[in-house]
Amino acid sequence: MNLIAVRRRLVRSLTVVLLCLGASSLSGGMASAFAAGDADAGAVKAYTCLGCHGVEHYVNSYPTFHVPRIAGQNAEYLIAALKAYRSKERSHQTMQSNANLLTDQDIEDISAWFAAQGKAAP
Amino acid sequence: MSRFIMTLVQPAFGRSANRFGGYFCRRGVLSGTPTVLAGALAIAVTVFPIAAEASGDAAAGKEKAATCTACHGADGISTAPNFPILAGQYESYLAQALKSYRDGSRQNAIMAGFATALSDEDIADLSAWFASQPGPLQTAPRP
Repeated sequence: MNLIAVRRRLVRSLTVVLLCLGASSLSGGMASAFAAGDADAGAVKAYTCLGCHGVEHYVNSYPTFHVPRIAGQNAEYLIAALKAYRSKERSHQTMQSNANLLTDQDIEDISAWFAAQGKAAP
Repeated sequence: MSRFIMTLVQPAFGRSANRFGGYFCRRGVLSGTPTVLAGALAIAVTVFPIAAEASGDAAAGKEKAATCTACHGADGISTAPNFPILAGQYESYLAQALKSYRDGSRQNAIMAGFATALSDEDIADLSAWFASQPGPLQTAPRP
């Protein structure tokens, strides 16, 4: 086997490796960009949330403040908030108890549904 | 008055004081208050905290909000999806969030840095400003 043939083979295998790397990083990127939850599935899973977040002017007691409006909120923020409640990094007994039962998929689905329920732009 | 009773009760019972305080105020148990007074107290306990928080000056809040707008948008509608939309959020919730960041009970490296510099009045004004802005937030509709 002469030197040129070896070099060709090397180039070919390198190309294959690079192509594979490119493809995997591309699909990785697509996966994270499309990781948004399923809002339809979220509609069912969000039913419990509406006990508080579906009541206009509903108030949290001790300390007293309004339960936040979350319909129309950014999904990414809602996901972060639910995960922080689940890990108990963010404190609120009721939210921690509810988030504790959720899988990552549940959190993404619920967040997608709430994010899609905002007011239409005027 | 309700605040005053809470102040008395809180050190003795710690975190659960609010719950107990509220209960006793409503029942009029605390000092054997007559029923009418107990009723008045119940109303004070229920209404006063919210009324007290809704006193922010939105115009002053707009002036103070310059720093916030870098992440939360000029009108409280954040451009980056990881930052929450503040426009149209409940004033009392925004104030609660800022106070929690300030006292460290809610942890966020970015928000802690800003919130520690805020006075109660700043928090009230900022909350009033962002709450008064139009945006997509609303109470979730029932499916």
